[in-house]
Amino acid sequence: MITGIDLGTTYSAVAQFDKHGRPVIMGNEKAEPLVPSCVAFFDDQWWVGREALRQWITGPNNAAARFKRYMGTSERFDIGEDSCTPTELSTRVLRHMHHIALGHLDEVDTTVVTIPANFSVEARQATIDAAKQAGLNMDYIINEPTAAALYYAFSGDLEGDGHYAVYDFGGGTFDISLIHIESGQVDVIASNGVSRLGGMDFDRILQKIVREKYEKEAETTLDDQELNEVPFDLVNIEQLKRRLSRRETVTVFAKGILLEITRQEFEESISGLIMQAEVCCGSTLREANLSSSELSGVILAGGSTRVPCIRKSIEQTFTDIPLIESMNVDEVVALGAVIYAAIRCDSSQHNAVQNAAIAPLHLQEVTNMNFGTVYVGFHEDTGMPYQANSVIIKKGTPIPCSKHESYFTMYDGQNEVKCRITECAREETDLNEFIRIISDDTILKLPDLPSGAIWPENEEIIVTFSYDENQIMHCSFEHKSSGHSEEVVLDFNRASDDSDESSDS
Amino acid sequence: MMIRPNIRGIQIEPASSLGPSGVKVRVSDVESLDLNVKQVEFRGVIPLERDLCFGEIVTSLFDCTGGRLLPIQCDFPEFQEEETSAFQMTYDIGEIGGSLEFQEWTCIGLISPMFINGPFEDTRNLMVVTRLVDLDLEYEIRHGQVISHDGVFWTGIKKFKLDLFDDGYLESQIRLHKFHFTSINLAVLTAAKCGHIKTQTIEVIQEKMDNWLDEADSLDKIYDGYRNSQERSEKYSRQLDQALQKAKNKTLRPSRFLTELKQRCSPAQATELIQFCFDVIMTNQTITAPALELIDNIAKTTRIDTKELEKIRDDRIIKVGTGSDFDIPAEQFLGINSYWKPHKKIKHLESEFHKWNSRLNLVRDEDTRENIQRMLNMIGEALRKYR
Ligand SMILES: Nc1ncnc2c1ncn2[C@@H]1O[C@H](COP(=O)(O)OP(=O)(O)OP(=O)(O)O)[C@@H](O)[C@H]1O
Ligand SMILES: [Mg+2]
Repeated sequence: MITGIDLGTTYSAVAQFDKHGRPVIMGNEKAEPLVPSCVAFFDDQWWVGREALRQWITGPNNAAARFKRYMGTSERFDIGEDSCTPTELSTRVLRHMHHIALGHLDEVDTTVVTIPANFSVEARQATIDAAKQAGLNMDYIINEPTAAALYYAFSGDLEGDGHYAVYDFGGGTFDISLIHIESGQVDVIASNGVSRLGGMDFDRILQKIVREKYEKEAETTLDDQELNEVPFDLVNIEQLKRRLSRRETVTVFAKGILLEITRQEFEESISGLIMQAEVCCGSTLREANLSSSELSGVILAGGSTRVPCIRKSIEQTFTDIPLIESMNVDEVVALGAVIYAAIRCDSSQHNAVQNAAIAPLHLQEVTNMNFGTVYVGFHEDTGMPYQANSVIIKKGTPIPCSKHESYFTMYDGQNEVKCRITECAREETDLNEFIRIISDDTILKLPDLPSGAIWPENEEIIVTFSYDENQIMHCSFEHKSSGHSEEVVLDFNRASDDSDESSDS
Repeated sequence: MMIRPNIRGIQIEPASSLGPSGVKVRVSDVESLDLNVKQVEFRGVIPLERDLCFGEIVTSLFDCTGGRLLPIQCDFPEFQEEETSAFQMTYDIGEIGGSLEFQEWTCIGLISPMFINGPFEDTRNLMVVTRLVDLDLEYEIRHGQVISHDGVFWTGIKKFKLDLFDDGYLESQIRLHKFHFTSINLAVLTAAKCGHIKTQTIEVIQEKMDNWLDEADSLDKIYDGYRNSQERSEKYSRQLDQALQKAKNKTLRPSRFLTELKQRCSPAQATELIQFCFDVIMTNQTITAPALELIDNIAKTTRIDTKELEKIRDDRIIKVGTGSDFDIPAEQFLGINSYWKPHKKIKHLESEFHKWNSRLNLVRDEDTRENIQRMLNMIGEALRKYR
């Protein structure tokens, strides 16, 4: 059997592809579809989910939450005596989700896990590591907005073929993708996001509002400990935020004082954050050369799309475009993930109904980074040499793709060329810290010439990058006149080699 | 533009007596060449007090306009002193004994304005100093000044006029030092505008000064008017001390330094200075509006283009927090001019947002990421005002 896991910042969900060819969320033993992405250690054992969340509120010293944002960084989370990496914590959540799946299924052959569209290489790698350490059989990951799009394409809830925006505003990240759908063929055109923008940021802001109100009324200041207690703690605040999505005003009873919070003041203070999503949507439309009026619909995903002013913002950004949403915006990503798993696995693993259900579906992703190499140029006025980045495969190129570019040797007798591969999110030429060199240990040697002759300058080196559907990039550096070449293979799906060292917790 | 600063000249030994046959040095035009090339000639008998085995005539060259001796530099190693790039010609006279005799005028070297470089550009009074040295004994000549005398037997001097076209080397040296002093003052001022000046900030300024001084030491080949590196470094330290003192008394003002920059500052120097000021800010870990304003002013004065300024700012600014609660308007932070139309401001803010948002994920350092996110939040807040 196959599963799809949405490893969310605040909530995670797991779905299966049932024997009737439908994606279905699998609830936990209490039949809850969403599991808080929270890990705790108490009573001599590890907990994941609601129990852990409860612990996180009352005694945050032995629990951790909201760690997805820190995937792939050196950030640590202290749980009791342990100092856990975000990868280790994600491993526990994934294991828990897998365990839920095993409550419904006899066995799980393949799992697809989702990541935000603009996750960094490290974060992506860390997610793959976490899945591996959780013992999942995961061959593929999929971008969250793409998964959402896939689900809607599958469910037939769309307004026919055409261009769509997928607007995914979750707990920790904001993602926007533009896609084109034509009879089951889902083509991603552009994907962007703000990696640290989500419902949890609203929670913090609301907490500040409540706190300030209270402090003003009570004429005291709250300390950190009190902020972890009802009603100021983040879980309570999140509930308050949800209530504000339904009502204009809510009241909070705080230590004997009644506080009134209005939706207006809350929305006023998060409008700067929402502005970020708007800017991001605008630049993505520009990147894809689309105007919003060309869209057939805006597909919604993520729990934060229920916030009324986010609604308004969407309606403003995409004027008069129908909004498409399911009842459970926070489940569509997991559902899309399992559909992707179904598409990717061998048809012999499915029954006839399942095969028929996914038959019309095809997915084409785009590269989410620029890939290039480093060359040497000369300053026009000073003649001084400098190193610069030259992009070969641009961000947003449909996968699979293959591109080549020629470069030339610099001086007579040059007999080797360093094969460097760079990655950057924005086309940049200056080699700065925003350009990552992802491979530089390969050297292309030009063959020796007979009787001590040397190669002249300006020998052509053809650099070809081929990015395939399995997120593997073959990079070849070929010396044209001799045919000698070197190849570097980068597998963006594979767990990093040092994952084993960091695996023991 | 001419700078006539109070620069120390070189001290040389007095000329030796002419001797019985009236030894002479003369400088004459070379008729066959019309490139204003001069030849140095020598005639006469020099009686030797001891046996000279292997002799050499060493000729140094000074600018002596105004009575002060400043060495002439040369670009070609064949005509340089061993340790410095001061002009020096040597004429090998081989093995001799008793006395040295030149019956006829003998050319001992050529001077062409093409390959020498004087302290100042102009028609200048030059002076050749010709010395007879014994190669078997120690002698050391540095910037045309005899450091160790044992091997020097005889000194002859001759003055002449020459047109020097190139930028004077001392002019550029002095300009460089001035630029350094201006930079030190502006760096201190930047620090002062960030609040109080921290020890780390002073350390960063000192470090920069040390780099300059090291560079000067390695360039010691060119005479810059200081007796030695010690003296140079003391001069720099004094500048820093005075600037700090003035900052403390709140009497350090930018206008004078900005005027100086306007007069002489290359684009490369302007970039260096702005980077330096940002480095200073970074030690403070918060950015204040007045400090940014000063940097903007420096950029404007030195006509650094906005792209370059943006590059420098991008490079440094994300390393510092912006203070927890956006105490600086985003506009200032992001190089937005207040007189721009709202439309232009929005466009600029959006492109800054796009830039930083795409960069965020490629930055490895968590603190930097947080700073970038804070910057994004700031841009979001700023955009609210215009949209
Ligand atoms: N009715 C509501 N009103 C406001 N916010 C809501 C509502 N329902 C859910 N949310 C918010 O949605 C967020 C959770 O959404 P979702 O489950 O889609 O995110 P996630 O998958 O955990 O995060 P991400 O996809 O960013 O990693 C939480 O911040 C939650 O507070
Ligand atoms: Mg999500």
